[in-house]
Amino acid sequence: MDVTQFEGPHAPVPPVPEVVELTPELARKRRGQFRIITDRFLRNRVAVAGFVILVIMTTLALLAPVIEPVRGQFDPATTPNFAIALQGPSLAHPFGTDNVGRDELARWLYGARVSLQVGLFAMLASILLGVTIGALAGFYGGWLDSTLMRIVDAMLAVPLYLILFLLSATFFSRGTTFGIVLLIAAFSWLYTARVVRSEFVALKEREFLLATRTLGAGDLRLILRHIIPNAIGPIVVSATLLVGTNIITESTLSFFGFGLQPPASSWGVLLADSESYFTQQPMLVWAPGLGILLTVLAFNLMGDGLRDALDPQMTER
Amino acid sequence: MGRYIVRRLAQAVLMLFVLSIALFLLLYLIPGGPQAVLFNPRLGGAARAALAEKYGLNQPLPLQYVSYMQHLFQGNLDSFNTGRPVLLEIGDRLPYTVQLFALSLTCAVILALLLGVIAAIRQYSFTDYAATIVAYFGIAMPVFFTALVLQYLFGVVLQSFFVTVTGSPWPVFGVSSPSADTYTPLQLIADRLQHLVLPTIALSLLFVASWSRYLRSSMLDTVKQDYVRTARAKGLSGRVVFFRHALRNALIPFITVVAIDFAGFAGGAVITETVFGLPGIGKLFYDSLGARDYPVLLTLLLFAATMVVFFNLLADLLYGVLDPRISYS
Amino acid sequence: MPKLLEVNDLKTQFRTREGPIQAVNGISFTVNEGEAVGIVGESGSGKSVTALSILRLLPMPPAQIVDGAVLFQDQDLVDLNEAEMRRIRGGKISMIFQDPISSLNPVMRIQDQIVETLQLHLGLSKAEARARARSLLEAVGIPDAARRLRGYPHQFSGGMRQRVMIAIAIATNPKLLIADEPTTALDVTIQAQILELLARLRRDLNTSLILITHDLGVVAGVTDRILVMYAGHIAERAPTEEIFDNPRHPYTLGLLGAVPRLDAERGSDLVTIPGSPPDLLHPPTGCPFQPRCPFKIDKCATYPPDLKVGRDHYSACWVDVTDPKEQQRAMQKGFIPLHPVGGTLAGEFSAGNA
Repeated sequence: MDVTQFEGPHAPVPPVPEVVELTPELARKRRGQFRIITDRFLRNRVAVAGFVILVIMTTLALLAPVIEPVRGQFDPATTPNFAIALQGPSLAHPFGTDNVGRDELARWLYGARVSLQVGLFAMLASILLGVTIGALAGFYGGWLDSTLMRIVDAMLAVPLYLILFLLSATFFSRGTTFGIVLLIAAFSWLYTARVVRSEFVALKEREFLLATRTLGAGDLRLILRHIIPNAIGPIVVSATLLVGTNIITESTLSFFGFGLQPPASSWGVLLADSESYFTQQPMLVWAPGLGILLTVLAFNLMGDGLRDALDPQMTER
Repeated sequence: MGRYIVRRLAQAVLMLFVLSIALFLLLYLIPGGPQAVLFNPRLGGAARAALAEKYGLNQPLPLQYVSYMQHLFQGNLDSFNTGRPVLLEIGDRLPYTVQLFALSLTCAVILALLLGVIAAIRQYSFTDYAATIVAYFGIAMPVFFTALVLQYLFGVVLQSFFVTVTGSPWPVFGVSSPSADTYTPLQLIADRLQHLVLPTIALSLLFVASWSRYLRSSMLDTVKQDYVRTARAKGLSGRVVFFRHALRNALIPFITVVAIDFAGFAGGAVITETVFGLPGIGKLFYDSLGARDYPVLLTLLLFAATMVVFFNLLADLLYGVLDPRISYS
Repeated sequence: MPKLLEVNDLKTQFRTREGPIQAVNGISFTVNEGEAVGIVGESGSGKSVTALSILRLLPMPPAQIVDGAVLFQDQDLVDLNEAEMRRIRGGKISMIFQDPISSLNPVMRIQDQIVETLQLHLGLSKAEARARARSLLEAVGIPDAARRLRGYPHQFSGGMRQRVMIAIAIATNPKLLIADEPTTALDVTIQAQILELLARLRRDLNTSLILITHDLGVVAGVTDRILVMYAGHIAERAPTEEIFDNPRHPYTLGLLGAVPRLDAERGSDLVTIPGSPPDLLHPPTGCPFQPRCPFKIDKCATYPPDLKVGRDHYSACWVDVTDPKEQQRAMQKGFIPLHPVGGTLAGEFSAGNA
């Protein structure tokens, strides 16, 4: 193990040329910042790959109701055909057929819709709740902060799947998409809240806030117009990664029979259905499984890429 | 140091207290209320009245909570399914889970250290990229899917390979082979271990992936610190600088990461045991869900939460011991 | 005095995405045995990079010593392999850094951090090393040394930490000690103590010292000679008194004028040198100080060589700043001679020159 070649101490950074231009240019500089971040993201080929995969997945999912009639398939949940059950991939059925004869590709496309929907909406609900609570806790501090964070810690002490399984088995046995979104959001906001809170705590101390306050800005204005725009970076990163996590959570719930149930079908439900047929028609498992894998991977790559692009301390290669 | 321990213990107890109240309130939220939760559905009216008296369901809420907690801790709750005390059911199965946990946690930590540290040393090398790719895939796969894939890989794809090499297929389900009664103790251990290999991989993969990436970035950050520069300026060899100065410092926060992920480990254990058919408390939880065996479920929940809180406490204390900057007052 | 260190035309570059940055652009100087040399300049002038280049502590992928030699005890340090270099580092040449808080390993006892270097370079046993560590702490003025040895960095104040760093640095009796902004992060009163400690140790151990700072006040009392650096070049080098009494490079004049003085007129502005350091990514041809220099002439488009302006006094400038005609010309560009420092010519620039 040759350890002599790892990076040594940081070299002193050469001075940045001074910005001599005046205020009209300042606006251009702000936009310039956005360009810088975009540039750095685009230079990260892996992150771009993730982004591309996501675009493809989303397009497929959105277009499912358009593609399927063209292929002669309608909502797959209603067209069983036992005669062609469990067939392998063919031209008519590129992913094969499932155990009741439905076209697996059609199921997969609709499954993509549902999985992405759940992931996305649960993320949005999560962010809403998490940012609010995190902001309040971080901004006001004191007993509010302590209480809120104690609750967060307590909720995090129960292993996620245990409580999710229990709640979905008892409450949400109807398995609607809306219910699952709420259920997942009810617990994934915890991570967002922590991230947001630490951002607020850090930003709260900065001088520009004191300056704005002396100009008479109230709390809400301060939070919305000044702190959040600065904290938006980590929030966006967190949100991106959260979608992936939510998709995994939903598919795990559905796989064990606790999440979505027919007629709603996500990739997780597809996996639940096809598990017992793994040896007979492996494609039935690979399709939804790889769908989940690729989608979550893409969100993770994008999220990491965003994090790197936003990090002001990233060293250039 | 003593005061610090006491303080953290008090905080932990407080948290468990809050949790137990929450779980208690859960009883009322579940459709059917405490009656459905505490009373075996097969009981008739008279028995129910007697139980209502025993659990104090006619009393004001706070007293109900007290009596419920009492019964919980005394293990007076009986499983709906088997009628035996919940604690006995748990006791029967706990060893299997402990084995899985111990094996998985140890392997995960060791592998994560190896991968993360090597990736940091050889940044941007082929090894680094390979480890990163594997890590990304590991993080993106749901645990149950990993389990399924492993079962397929070893049980179907490689089946003939194993049969020709070892004479029997690789076990993908259950905790021991059918003919285990005839095994010598050594064979028994080997058999058990063999059955644990795939579950261990399935459970640890996610954490090896995420921890190794954490360690890699933590190492890269540590190596840029001023005191590492000082160590190099002293003329110390790269190896010494890396291990004695950089690695040691980066490992301390790693403890916290492992502790935080303990809850995730527990959830993963439930999934793994269920898919692989290991008769541990994870599978017990899953089975009880289907049977609506509430006494077992609630006890397990509280047990899991207690373990998580305990592990976090342990990690905090360890951190306090290892990092001299933490004051104990 | 015999020569200890000789730097010849050192050039250090950083490779960045936008192109190479010439951090050190051909500097040459010597340090004699027992001598204290100060290197003064703004941030970005290349003074720290020079020091790091001598010890080859720069990360070599982005950084590279592209030319020049660093001769130390008949060896060119630039040519040595890593193992040989490690023997020099901490052994024959030691370095202390600016921020003592972050420069000491926070989770390692002070004792272990000193013992480490003693065991490595002097081969002492643990017991011997510990005993010596204790006497080192006493030598740098840390009271209750025996107890404090077992302490951790965060238990020491800033000044004490810097003393510990110094103790580590002199533990092996190095021939040369490089101090990179050792007092910048410290209170003014502590600064004086540390500088005094450095001066004393230098005399007692006959160690040579390179003291790097942006603060002229720091070098005034400690050094024998001063190098003034600007944009990777040495602008002026001379014995310390000469720099203060008879500065010859326009940049030095600006630096001296920029030092706030207690006897300045009330209400007079604080002086700065207008303009900013050049972009090292695209270094100008010719003298890098041109854009800010009130003495500039056309000839400055060619980089001036070190012109001898006195005994052991060199200035990289075409212009004779003591010439009243040149001063007149510079005054039209905004140069204002202040009350003379010791009878000559410290100057003040004002905005709107050159």
